[in-house]
Amino acid sequence: MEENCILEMKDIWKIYPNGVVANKAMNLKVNKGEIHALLGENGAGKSTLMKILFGIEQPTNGEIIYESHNVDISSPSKAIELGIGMVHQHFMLVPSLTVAENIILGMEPKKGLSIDIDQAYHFVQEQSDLFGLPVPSKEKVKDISVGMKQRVEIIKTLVRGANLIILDEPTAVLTPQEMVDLFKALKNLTEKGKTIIFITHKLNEVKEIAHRITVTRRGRVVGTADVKDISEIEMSKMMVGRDVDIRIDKEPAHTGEKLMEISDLAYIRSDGVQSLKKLSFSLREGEILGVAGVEGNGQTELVQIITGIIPRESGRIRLNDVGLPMETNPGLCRDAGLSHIPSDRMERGVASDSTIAENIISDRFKKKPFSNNGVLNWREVYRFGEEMVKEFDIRTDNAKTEIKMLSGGNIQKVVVAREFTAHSKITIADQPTRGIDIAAADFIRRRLVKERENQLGVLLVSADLTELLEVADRIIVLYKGEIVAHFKEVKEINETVLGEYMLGIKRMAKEEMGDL
Amino acid sequence: MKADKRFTLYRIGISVGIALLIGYIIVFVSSVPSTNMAFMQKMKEAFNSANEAYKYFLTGALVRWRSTGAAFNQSGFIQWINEAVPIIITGLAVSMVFTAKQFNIGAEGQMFLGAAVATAVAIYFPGIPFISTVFVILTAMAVGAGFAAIPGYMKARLKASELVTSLMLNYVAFFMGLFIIKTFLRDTEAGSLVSLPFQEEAMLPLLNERYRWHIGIFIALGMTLLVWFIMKKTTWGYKVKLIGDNIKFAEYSGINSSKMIFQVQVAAGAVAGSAGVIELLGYHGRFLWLYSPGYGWDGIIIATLARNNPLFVPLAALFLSYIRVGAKIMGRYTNIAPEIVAILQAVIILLVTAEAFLAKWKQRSINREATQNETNATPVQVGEAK
Repeated sequence: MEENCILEMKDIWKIYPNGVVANKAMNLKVNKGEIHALLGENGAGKSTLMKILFGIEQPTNGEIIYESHNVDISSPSKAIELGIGMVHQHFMLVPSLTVAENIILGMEPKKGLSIDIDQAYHFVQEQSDLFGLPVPSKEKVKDISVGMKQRVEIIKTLVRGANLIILDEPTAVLTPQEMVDLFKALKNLTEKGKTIIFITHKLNEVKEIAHRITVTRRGRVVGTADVKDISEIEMSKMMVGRDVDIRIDKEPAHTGEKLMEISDLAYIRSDGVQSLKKLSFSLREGEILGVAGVEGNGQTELVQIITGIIPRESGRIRLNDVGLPMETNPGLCRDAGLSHIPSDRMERGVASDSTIAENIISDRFKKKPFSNNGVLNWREVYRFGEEMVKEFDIRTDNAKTEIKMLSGGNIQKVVVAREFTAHSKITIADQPTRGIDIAAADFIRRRLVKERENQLGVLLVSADLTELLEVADRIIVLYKGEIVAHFKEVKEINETVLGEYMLGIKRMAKEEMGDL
Repeated sequence: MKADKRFTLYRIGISVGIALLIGYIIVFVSSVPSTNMAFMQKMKEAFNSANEAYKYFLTGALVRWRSTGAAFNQSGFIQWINEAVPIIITGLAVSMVFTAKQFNIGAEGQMFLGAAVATAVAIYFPGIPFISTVFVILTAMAVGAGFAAIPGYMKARLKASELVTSLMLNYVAFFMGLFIIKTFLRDTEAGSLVSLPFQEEAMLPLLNERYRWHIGIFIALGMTLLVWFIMKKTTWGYKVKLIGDNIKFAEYSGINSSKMIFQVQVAAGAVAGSAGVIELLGYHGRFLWLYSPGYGWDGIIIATLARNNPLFVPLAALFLSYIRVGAKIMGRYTNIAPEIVAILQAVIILLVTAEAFLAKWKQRSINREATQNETNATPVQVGEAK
């Protein structure tokens, strides 16, 4: 058993300069020739652990034993030298170069001073045949599909001599067919003696492909097990610490007046892609309207346009019966009665060097009692901050704590505390529970339902389908910038049904969708 | 977390310590006599004269060393305070724009042009005590604000890097200022290129006639309190801080960032504009700079040392002017060139701004704090499944 072990990471700690503890005494053992799934929610520390293994991050403490040698992996090039490769979630390819050129980058066969391009093509062909990963070596990377790009990345690691390949959430960007191909390719690789670490948070994938799993939670390793001995339900229990139960009891919706009306909304991205095509729908009082879709099908643009961050190309938006002008800005939208929980809290939702209280008053500091004639009443600001810390269960000493000292879930609670106390009629919640712990996520979902019970409107954009199905009253599905489905009765559908529309396999006719 | 703030304080203290040590080594090396002597003898000589030089350097601004003993050095003290005045003001101006993460380094030009234009007012405006003084200073502030509005506008509207525009405009301000003095305000009676003398009534009141201790320090401290109030207690200062912390967040919260970026640069320009003319009104009584005196650049050093906190600006400025006066006095009594102070400044700034300096030490204390919190908290249940 011992000699079969290719990698052992022992007692790994990682503490970031801002005090965030990402890994706490993590242990990981990977056997030669297996597909080892590293399972855990966002923020469980699995990505950090792999960054340490690939030399991108340095551990605060702990040791790494690779092929029976104690190794110090100070940089990615050191990792590559040892035979460790990594395929990142965001591909590191040069779009304007061909597939072969990308693969040989940095190790080009030379003919005199120039690159021997024929030999390069030959070499790439040979390698891709060897590993059973066919690639179009003469095509430019910008012209090939996402799944193919991923394959190019895998070959890149292989030709550099990788025996252990780390795949960081490889299925997140793939279509179902591409996923099948990937899994076939991975099985093929393990037959050739390669070892694969597969980062994921999707249970069904684990069941399908992995031999063993290691489950992480809140920076710790919860346990390691053989996949054949463990059920999906047991896995999910390990992952979240308790049964997955996001069931939220709620009354049927009592919808009222239209709060937000969007008609013929269009947007053209700077690269010329029309990412929103004449979108029309409305949001009523007392309902949660869910927006489903694979990332990159227009949700981001939709949210940014409604909240005034980017200007629209054409179309009309009415908030609380007030038309928004074409030249808009977030302040204007807030004044019109809009709250916004942004998808990337660190980028837009908080100022990390400022305190909790300073972050909570950022939209209302001009109003009484927080300021008077332009002079801030700090005592009132901090009193309110403390109140919010209590009400929203923000885990911290006091409201004077700087945001950068908080964990992801607590930062999101700060965002939510501000947005839910803004007294606005409409809340745009964009991935409100992404990457935060279960308890915080549950708290936020319940607050969203409470908003609706107070006859307010919520537009919920989420990649978490279970969340959408549980929380939303109606769901629309976006595909390539169009609404392709509308479900008035969320109870009657499930993830599979949504998935078919999200992937463009099916689409509803106009009559079928009914009144949006 | 406390570790962070404590660390900043330590880092500044240690940087100053290291700089003084390096300064001592330089003084020591340049004190080694070139005459023919035994090595130990040479070392001893050098050691003695280096100690002597450092005594003047570290205490000269306050103590007059006589054969009979030490006495209070009134002239040194007054020089120390007077020299701090303009750099407190530019330090405040720079700390304002730096708080908004706007790297407008035009304080030098704003200060110079403000002083040059206000010189005209100080010469020709009817001499009414107090009123003329205020009017001269207000003119300088208006010119500084107006000149700062150019890079401010270009940044806010056209997204032109304020770093480049403000830097380049410093030259424009300098030559424009000299042109105004040479062409319109020159005192043809004087032997060198200086302006006509100011009206007596426009001058600042003096606290000490002999060494010309003027009330500029109180103006500077008053401005410090005002800037502190604006930056820390008003909604305007809060907006400036949010923009510096995360401009996307500020915009998302409904703050008009272009407007604020413009306003903060103009406000800082007004502050910087007054820095030069206050010294002229207090000390020299006419415009006499042929070279830009560098107070704007000093402002950058001071704002950095003070971590952009207005209340720390006078401390940083007093520190800088203290070692400068000390160095001048050392230069007077020994063979050591007072320019050594430039080396000390450079070392201090380098170490204070070098994020990685002592970062390992900082990380250790953060690790300690984090592990402690971790062990105190109830751990997640860890165990082998099955």
